[in-house]
Amino acid sequence: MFGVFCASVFGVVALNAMTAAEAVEARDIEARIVANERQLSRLVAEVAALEEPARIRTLAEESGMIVAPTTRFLPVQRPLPADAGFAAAFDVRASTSVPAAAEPVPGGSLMRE
Amino acid sequence: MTRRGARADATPVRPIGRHNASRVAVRRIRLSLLVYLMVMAVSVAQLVSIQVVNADEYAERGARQRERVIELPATRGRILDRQGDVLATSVDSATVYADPRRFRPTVDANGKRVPPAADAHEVATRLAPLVGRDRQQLVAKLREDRHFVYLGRQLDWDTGQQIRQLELDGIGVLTEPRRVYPGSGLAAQVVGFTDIDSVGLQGIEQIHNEQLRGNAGTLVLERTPAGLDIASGMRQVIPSTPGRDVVLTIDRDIQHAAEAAASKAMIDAQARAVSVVVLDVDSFDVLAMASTPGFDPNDRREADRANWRNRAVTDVFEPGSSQKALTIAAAIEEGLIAPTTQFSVADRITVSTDEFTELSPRPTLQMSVEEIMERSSNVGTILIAQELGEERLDRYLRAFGYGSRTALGFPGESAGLLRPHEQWWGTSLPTIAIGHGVAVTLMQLAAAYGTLANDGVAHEPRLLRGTVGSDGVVAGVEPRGEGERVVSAQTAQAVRSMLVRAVEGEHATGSRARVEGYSVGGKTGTARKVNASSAGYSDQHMATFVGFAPADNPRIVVAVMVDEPTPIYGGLVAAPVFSEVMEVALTVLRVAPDRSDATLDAMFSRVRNLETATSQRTVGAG
Repeated sequence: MFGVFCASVFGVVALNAMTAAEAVEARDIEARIVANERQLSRLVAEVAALEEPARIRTLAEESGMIVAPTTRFLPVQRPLPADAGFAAAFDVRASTSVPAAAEPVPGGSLMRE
Repeated sequence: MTRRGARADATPVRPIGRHNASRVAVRRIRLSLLVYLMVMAVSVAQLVSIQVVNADEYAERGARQRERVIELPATRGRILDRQGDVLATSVDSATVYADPRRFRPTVDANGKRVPPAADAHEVATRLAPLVGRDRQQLVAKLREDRHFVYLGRQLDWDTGQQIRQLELDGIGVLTEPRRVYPGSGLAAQVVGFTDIDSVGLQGIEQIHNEQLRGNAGTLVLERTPAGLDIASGMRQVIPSTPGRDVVLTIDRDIQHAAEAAASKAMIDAQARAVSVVVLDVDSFDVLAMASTPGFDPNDRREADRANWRNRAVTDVFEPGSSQKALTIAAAIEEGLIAPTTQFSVADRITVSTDEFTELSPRPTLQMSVEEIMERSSNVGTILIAQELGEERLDRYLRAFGYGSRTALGFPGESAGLLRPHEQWWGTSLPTIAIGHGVAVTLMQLAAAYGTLANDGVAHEPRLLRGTVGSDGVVAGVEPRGEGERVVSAQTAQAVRSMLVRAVEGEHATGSRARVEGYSVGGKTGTARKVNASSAGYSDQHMATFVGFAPADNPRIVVAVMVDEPTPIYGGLVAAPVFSEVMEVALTVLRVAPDRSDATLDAMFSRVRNLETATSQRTVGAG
């Protein structure tokens, strides 16, 4: 009888200790989550500040770059070699379906000068 | 003789026998039992009272003694541009506080003086460089007759960590969210700012405060009488609901270009202020809304409060000649004129009591409506307006958005000023027809030109693209309605063609608005400012330019307003800003050029020619 009692007490104490240990670990994980979230917020703000267009422009000019006088997009009038490669890779009859001198395609078929 | 002896003499004394003694003992035991039972009854009654009758109350009181309730503040949502770039966000910061009682001598229960637990001078010396305050100021703070004082709010997190490591008696560090604006002054008047407690005070921060702020949660813990948390104790969390991210229609790159061009124009033209609005024609999304001078919402202590306002929606001005396109559109829509209709246009005209003149004297000319627009003729436009009449001009201007606030809902937004035509007087028609006697915001003007660019269909400008919750789902985006048709597509097309002449024509007033590779339509405007202190006009001017590109299939509208420039003309000071901003906007949105002779083949052949020439030179040299 006494043995059962002792075993019960020991079991309860052991379970309680294990629960406490798990709880401490859970707290530790929560604290790490909070710290990581805090760091993420700081990094997001830092990246946004680093990407700021005025800052990039200033740095570029300090590095000797100049603003391009004009930016233009060139309409593509015929398929490019890369288009043919793409067509071949995907078994598309590029040579027959794409005319040699296609009309300029707005939007997607532009190259920046 | 004793009394016992006397009694013994009278009657024989009955001796105390065993029977009597046991009776006394029994009585005593019964008494003790009674007392015991009574005590037990009281105990049981108390036990029943505690465990059964008032069990809940006692359980609650016990829990209250152990419980510690911590508020979990909600993370304020971010403000993002249309590409998801961050315009405003929140980071954790450190707030340093002190308990001044620890720096004061006290008197104990015996009336004995107890010295302070900490030395104010020593603590102030160690804290001053970290919190960025004067040492003497800190000493004074530490000696205030209060229980709690802030020594520094929303400091860098790392600074807070350093202060924590000092383990100064009477000093504590709290975690507090701080609002930061990574772009510094970028779109400052649009984004706005919050107060130190993260409550929106201006701009989007104020308009969408409810969505941004979220809801605080609670964390309930159990603690020991000494205040230590019980690791295995009860733990109840009601998580906070973070605020929703607000996604704007603003494009950070276009906004930057607009602000840079506006700042440059303000310096070049020695202007008081410059505003720029960029509108997407398909969606009526506001791609940029710039106002200079601006301010940095991260540090607005030194900023002039006048620069906090979003001038593009709060400031009104007379549109001047930029309004002529609307007057002519109304007349074409009513079938009164066609682009080729001829008018005999003198250099002056008298209406009622006033004489209206052209910018410079000239002989009477035969002009088509197209030429009237190209030359920005006041007299020609007045002749057209006289055919249109007051009621119809009033109706069309209101349909274009004059006289009513846009749906942006910006704090302090103006509806402009357009009196009902019943209140017009003799000179109102000619005056309003050429953009005077009427006041609009730059946003209204941009939206009116947006209607022309959108084949005559008006929509409300839109600044909010949607909100995003923690689940990543975008909400709050209402599909754009059908819009309101103001003029027919043919009328809009005809006016757009005229506006192209106003930029590209021989007598164009807006030639500085051209953008290489693109057809551009638009109109200059120059108007005197109304005198703020007395009736009439001042000597100061407002210069405007508003237009669109590409002209055949407009994608973007840009409106520019320059306040008190030198020189005064919109064609000289506002049109170059338009050109600069429009070029960037077209590039960012990857709009194909419609007036470019340059093609990839042409470029290749140019390169081939160059290579051939180089090789020939090399061979020749060899």
